[in-house]
Amino acid sequence: MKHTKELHDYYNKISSLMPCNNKVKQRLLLEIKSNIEDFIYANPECSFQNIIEHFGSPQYICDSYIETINSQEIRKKMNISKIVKVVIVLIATTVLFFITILFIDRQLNRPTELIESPVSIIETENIN
Amino acid sequence: MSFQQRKKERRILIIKARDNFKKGSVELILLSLLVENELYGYQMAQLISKRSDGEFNLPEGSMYPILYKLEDNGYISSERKLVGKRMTRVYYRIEKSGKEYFNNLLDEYYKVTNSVIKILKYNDKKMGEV
Repeated sequence: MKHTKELHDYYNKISSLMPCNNKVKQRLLLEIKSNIEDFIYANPECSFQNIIEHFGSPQYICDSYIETINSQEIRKKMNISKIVKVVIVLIATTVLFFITILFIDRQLNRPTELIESPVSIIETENIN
Repeated sequence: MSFQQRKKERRILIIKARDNFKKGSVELILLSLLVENELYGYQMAQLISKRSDGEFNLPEGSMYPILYKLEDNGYISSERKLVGKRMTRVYYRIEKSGKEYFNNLLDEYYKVTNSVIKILKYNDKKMGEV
């Protein structure tokens, strides 16, 4: 097939930019792939640029998807991401708190045996 | 800013505005095509270009998110069909609720368009008087 490498990059770019679940991504890619085959079959001399003009750049496709999401859904997604952030911060704080407590506890309960080390006096003779 | 730059910027703004006009009517256009027949994406893009004499060139990739939204709302349905040995095409069909939605959308479209035309004509008249 023509433009194999460019098309591979094109599909990868769409996949990475689309802010949707994998199911929707796979479906979109399936349709685009199949229709690009149709397009190349109908226009055998087409360049990769012609394909982009006909199907749209990955960014344009992604923008079109975002435009179909209504404001209520966007707000809902934003709220979910806010909640996720708060939960992550809470978990991190709790973990940090417990690690600190554990550390302090270990420091306090350390066996307090006196280490009696013999004091050795090293006498150095001054050769001089 | 040079004259050329200003001209280029204006051109970009006009293209953006035209894009917005188009985007506002894509849903309606897609439904109008599906009212006639069961179609797959490539056919829809071809028909749109053909019927508008090449004036309404909508990048095909941007049609799918709109089709998915219509399907999520139950206005259209899709069916995968294997073409040849390995190629799969997704055909879209309008549902009863989709036809009703299309008629409502069409009414609203005409109402809005007519009111815009009225406003613009009023402006034209005034300009003519001056």
